[in-house]
Amino acid sequence: MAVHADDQELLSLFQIPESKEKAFTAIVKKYQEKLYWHIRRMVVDHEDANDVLQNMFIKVWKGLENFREDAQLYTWLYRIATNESLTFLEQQKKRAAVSFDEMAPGLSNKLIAEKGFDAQKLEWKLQLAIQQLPEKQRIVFNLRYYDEMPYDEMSRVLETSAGALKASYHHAVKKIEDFILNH
Amino acid sequence: MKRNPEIGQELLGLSPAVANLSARMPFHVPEGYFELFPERMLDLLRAEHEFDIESAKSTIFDAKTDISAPFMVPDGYFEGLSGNILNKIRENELESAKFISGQKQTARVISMGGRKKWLNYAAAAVITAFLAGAIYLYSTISGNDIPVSSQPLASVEKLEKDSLKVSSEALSSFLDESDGLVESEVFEMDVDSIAQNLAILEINEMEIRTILEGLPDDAISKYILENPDAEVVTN
Repeated sequence: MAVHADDQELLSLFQIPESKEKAFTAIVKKYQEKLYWHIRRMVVDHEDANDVLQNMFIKVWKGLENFREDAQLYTWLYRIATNESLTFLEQQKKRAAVSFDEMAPGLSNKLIAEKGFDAQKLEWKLQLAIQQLPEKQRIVFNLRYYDEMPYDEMSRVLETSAGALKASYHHAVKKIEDFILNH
Repeated sequence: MKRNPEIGQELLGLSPAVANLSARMPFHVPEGYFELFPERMLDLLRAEHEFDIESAKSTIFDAKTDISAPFMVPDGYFEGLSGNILNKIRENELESAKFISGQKQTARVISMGGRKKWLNYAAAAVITAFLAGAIYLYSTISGNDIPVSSQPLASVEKLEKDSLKVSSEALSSFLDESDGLVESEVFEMDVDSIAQNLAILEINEMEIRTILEGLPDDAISKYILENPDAEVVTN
């Protein structure tokens, strides 16, 4: 799949030193909110999401010159954001294991600590249900439910077959339904 | 937010309860975060770029950098360096030779077993003391007549001390008055002289017999052979 016409133009501008910063700023403005929320749903905390988003765009800046134009920029950005989020979560798990810190806040605890959290409200209950899911199902559910990403595009982001992703999504929906009805 | 119809239908088929939930994210985001983020991101990248440039400039492997620049070397240092090093080596060798010869002259032999020798002496002293104690105890307990008692020795010592109190003049006048009854002169007397001396001493025949009974036969036989004229009284 070829890149969108406006993405193609931004990538061309990025190759020219004089317009490099301008092109990059345009890419950031275009995708920042989608990528921020994708990261935020995974790491929950705003400061963590901000750190991951910044690291992610630093990698985009360094890698954009070698970006293959036969791939879609949007897919490429999501893949970097997903990988950075998973790396961040893995580091947090290792840090907690090394320090034997049983009080290290899990994602559910982080959710409860969020401003305006109310376990009786359905939108917060849905977030709690999502945090109960295995990591892969959580990513698939978020990309499908919130980002409304088609399976074939999700397949390129996660490098998993569309059929496997569909199955994961179905399992995730059933688990969330069970959580909502029983909590 | 209006949901994608295809995705909405799929979700409704899977779970009506989940399909009817609001997809609104309840999370709070600081005000103006998205407006300021692109500029903050650029600042971050510029700072990182400058850091990279500074790091590249300061690298010691940069071919353009003269690594010897901050240090000064005296003129002609390297020309005379090898000669200076050789002189230094010769001086060191000479010093070493002097030191070794001095060591040979004044060297003294230090016993390796000095401490061991003292231990040997101490062990010998302990063993000797033990043996002496054991012999003393054995002799006193078993009643053997080994003359090791300290009493006679003490008596002899006491007599010697007392004799020193007698002056030599008194001692010589005593010898003159006693007409030679010193042990060494007794053996030189003949029988008559002995009889006279015995008479002087007022010793009768019976007492002489008693004295002679204690003499061994060998001594009497020897006396008869040496003095064939002497009258021997036998039992």
